[in-house]
Amino acid sequence: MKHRIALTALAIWLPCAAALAGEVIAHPFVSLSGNDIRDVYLGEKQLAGSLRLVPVANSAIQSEFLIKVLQTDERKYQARWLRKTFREGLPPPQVKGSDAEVIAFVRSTPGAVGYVSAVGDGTTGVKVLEGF
Amino acid sequence: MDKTLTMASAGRALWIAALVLVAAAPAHADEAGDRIKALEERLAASVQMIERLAARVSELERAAQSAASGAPAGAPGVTNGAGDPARAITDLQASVKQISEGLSRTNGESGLPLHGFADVGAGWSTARDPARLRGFNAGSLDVYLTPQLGDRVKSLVEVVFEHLPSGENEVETERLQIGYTVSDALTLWMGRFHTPIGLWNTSFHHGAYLQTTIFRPRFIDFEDKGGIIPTHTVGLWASGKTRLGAGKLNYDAYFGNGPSIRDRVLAINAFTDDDSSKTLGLNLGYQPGGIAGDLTVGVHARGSTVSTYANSGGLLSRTRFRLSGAYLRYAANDWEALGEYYRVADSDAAGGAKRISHLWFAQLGRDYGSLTPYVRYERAALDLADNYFLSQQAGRPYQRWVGGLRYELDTRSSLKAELSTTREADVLQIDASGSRVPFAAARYRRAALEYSIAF
Repeated sequence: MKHRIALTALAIWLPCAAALAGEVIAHPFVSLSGNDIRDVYLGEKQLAGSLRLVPVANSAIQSEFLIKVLQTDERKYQARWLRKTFREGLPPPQVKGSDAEVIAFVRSTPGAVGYVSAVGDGTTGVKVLEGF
Repeated sequence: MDKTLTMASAGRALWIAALVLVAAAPAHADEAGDRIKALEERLAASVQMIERLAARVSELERAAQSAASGAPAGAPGVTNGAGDPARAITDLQASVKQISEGLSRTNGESGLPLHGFADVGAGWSTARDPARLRGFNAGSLDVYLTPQLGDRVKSLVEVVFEHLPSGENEVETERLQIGYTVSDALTLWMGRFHTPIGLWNTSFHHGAYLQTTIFRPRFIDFEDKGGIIPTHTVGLWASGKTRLGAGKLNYDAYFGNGPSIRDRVLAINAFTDDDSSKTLGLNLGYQPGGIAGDLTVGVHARGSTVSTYANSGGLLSRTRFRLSGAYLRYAANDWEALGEYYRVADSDAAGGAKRISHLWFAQLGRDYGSLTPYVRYERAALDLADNYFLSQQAGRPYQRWVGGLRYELDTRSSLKAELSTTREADVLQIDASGSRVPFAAARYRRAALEYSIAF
């Protein structure tokens, strides 16, 4: 019986674990829903209350983030931001090169939002918003 | 672990990183000033980082002392692992290492990013083409800056360098607008901006790379390039978007100087208005989202009084200019359809009948990987008694077929080849002295190539 329960739990957990490519994190002052996160990275949401949001991209897992969270690909994402910046004067999210850089930036910047492959032990000073 | 040592190590790592950056700076004399300034900024950022880390270490030390004495520990802003000082300090060490590595790899993230477009090309056309293309052209260079000043204040500055048909260089401030973000649903701008009419004018404008085709629809070309609708406005502009149902509603409302016509060309009166009449305009767009895919539909309207002046400075006519229209763009399954319709209902300010004109275009393209063949039809059916159009050099009824191929070299550059054929009707126009001058019907063909980039 115990083996059956363990196998069932494993069967449920494994696909979930495999499906998770990363986590969206934010400065502790920031609270966002799933739709809000999408809007932030598409330049549709710039403020959370009185706080200006500062999204950062992570080149290490950008492809997975674009596919799973924004439902787009690199080419369309770049094209969208090119038009957005030209029309509205809104700069695209800064690009960081690693989880460590993203976590350090989010931790030290009020309003910052980022995504990482694994927060691991480095969650001090950041808030995990959702997995993807 | 000695926390003081940790802090000292962090400080040393950051200072060493900063010094390595200073030592590694190239000694080119012409770049030295800028590089030194950039390094100073990085150094200042490093010092700020050290100060923040020092404060953090002090905070953790207090938490550790509290834990040792049995008091509950709690560091503000810490969501995970706050109850374990040793783990937090280990995290801190890892963070310092990451930050040090990040600083050493940082590459010009400070400063103001420069964006822009450039295009070069070649063109050939038959004798009746007013542009009469016979070879290569240096195209245009469009640069724009988007300085963000604080949390709410933003700006957009765009300058275009291009060549006039005479061959002379022209530098023009395309946009100079300073804005304030009131909320996600409202941004207020003031200055010179692209008039929010239709989709083409605000989405592509001088960004040759952004548009599928080489040439814009003629009637919404730039004022000094044959356009007969005002594509720029100087004044106030409120813009924003909000969720509506499953989709998004975006809007623009603007108020600014009315245009005038001088030397047979539309003038936007960027320095000051020529009279007390102002332009008032509104644009509403909706993106349904969901199964509708990438669909945008919208309507717009604007009104003003347009005065036409002779070369001598005398007033030739005043027209109540009333423009309204609708637009649609649909992109799905590698297809893109784009269409805009404009209705102009003018009347002479002194009285008289209303003059109705219809202008529109429809464009269709399909992506085959990097290759996009496209076709467009455009038409201006103008009322031949409307002084607003007749006073403009390009204010003639016409129809045009355009076909071409666009090849995407990468996400920032493209090659285009385009053919078009245009027919213009005969019309009695008004010249700069106020006299009637006949324009004989014309037909011409044009072939063009363009190589465009975005940066």
